[in-house]
Amino acid sequence: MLYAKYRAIVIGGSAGSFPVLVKILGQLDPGFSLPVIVSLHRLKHIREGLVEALSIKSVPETLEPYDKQKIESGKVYLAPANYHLFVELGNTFGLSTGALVNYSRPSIDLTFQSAAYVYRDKLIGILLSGANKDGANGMRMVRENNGLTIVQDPEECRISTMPRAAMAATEIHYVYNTDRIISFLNMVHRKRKTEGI
Amino acid sequence: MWEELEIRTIRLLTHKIQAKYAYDLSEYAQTSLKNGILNFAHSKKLTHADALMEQVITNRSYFMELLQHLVVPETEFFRDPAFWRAFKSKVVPRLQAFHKLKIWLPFASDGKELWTLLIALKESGLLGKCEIWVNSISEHRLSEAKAGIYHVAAAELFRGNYQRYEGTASLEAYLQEQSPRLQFNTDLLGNVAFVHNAFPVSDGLKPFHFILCRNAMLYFNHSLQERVQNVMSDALEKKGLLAIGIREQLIGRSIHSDMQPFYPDEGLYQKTTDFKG
Repeated sequence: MLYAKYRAIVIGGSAGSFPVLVKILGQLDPGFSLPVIVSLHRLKHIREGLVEALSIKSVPETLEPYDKQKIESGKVYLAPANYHLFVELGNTFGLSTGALVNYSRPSIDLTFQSAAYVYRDKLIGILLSGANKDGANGMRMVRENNGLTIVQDPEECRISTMPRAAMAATEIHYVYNTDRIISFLNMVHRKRKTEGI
Repeated sequence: MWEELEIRTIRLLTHKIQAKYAYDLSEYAQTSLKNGILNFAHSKKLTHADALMEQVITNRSYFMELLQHLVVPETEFFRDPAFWRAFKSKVVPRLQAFHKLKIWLPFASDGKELWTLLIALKESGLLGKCEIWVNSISEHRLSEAKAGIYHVAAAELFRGNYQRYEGTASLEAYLQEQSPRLQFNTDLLGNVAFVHNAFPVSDGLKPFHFILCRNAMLYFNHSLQERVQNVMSDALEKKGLLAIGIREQLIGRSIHSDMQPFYPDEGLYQKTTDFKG
């Protein structure tokens, strides 16, 4: 498999996903070379704190993008509270204040769909613990665009509704626990490095 | 269900719209434009691109409905209470210095932002000396803003945000709750003019002392954003203030020569150069 072809990672999560995300980001290799785009369900009035909490533990720089901000390798981007986050052609982000999708803004589906459209087979989509079905459609679109799909093992999830919904919506490539997600992502990074990307 | 529209289809549609209706949608942000068109198509049960194109171009009411989908409703009253607290504590003292006040909302939607502004101005004692100009490309959204009628479901968030804003009145001072509707007191609209599809406004209305344009430019591409920002900064009086969304940035000429950060954490910028007419 040509693991070195991947250009971006999208991660979605809701209830129970935060500690998992912190662990993943904290154990990525130094100099991790892909952008990691994260859409987490969060409280809209708590604007600060999440980036700071992630930054303490995580090796890559973590930020909430502005509208039209360039996507750079090796950074972690977190969908801002009360905005939908899109990947746009031309390697930039777009934001929107459009209607809630799956009772959520940011909606994981919208982020994943836009990323699948732009990155096609060069995208890795990862869905973590959560208590609703947001992200299932997005994972299906990642799959239909020939991207790679991974869900956190429902046995390990605090709340498994979200990964299970994705598994019902499409044929997920890998069902991994947190440690295997981390080693897989680092393996992709190392393959890219060996190939000089 | 229809989930994807190719870029060439969108380009063809915006091209035809421009030719037929003289509305330029060619510089709208890609994903939001696509999602808006798809939402419209789903609502009209149009199942393929040819039917969509045909209906929008031959039927003006369809086109108007499409515009309504592109001008997304504002999310809530007092969105970002911290912004509105900054309006009260930092913007109002600056606006008090002006003898008369002209305020512009260049890309209004369903009016939640306008009604929030009217309440904030009323509570600061400034409303009486304001003239407020409200523009939108969607007639439907403009009439919603003017009517001041919203679904009662918006009330809970409204109350929560108003508390965080540290408002001084009870909301009943501004609206009546008649389930399933919230009806605002339209007396607050005394000095508000609604103008359909006029960007930029005519020169005679300028200069403005405050421009409120939060999260509307998200729906434009980079180059249209830059042009709109130039128009807005040109339209401001010296020391006038501009509010943009907290996740938007000024780009290009406006920020490099005419504007400087005033309270950028909440998207507030101030014009530093003279109004040139």
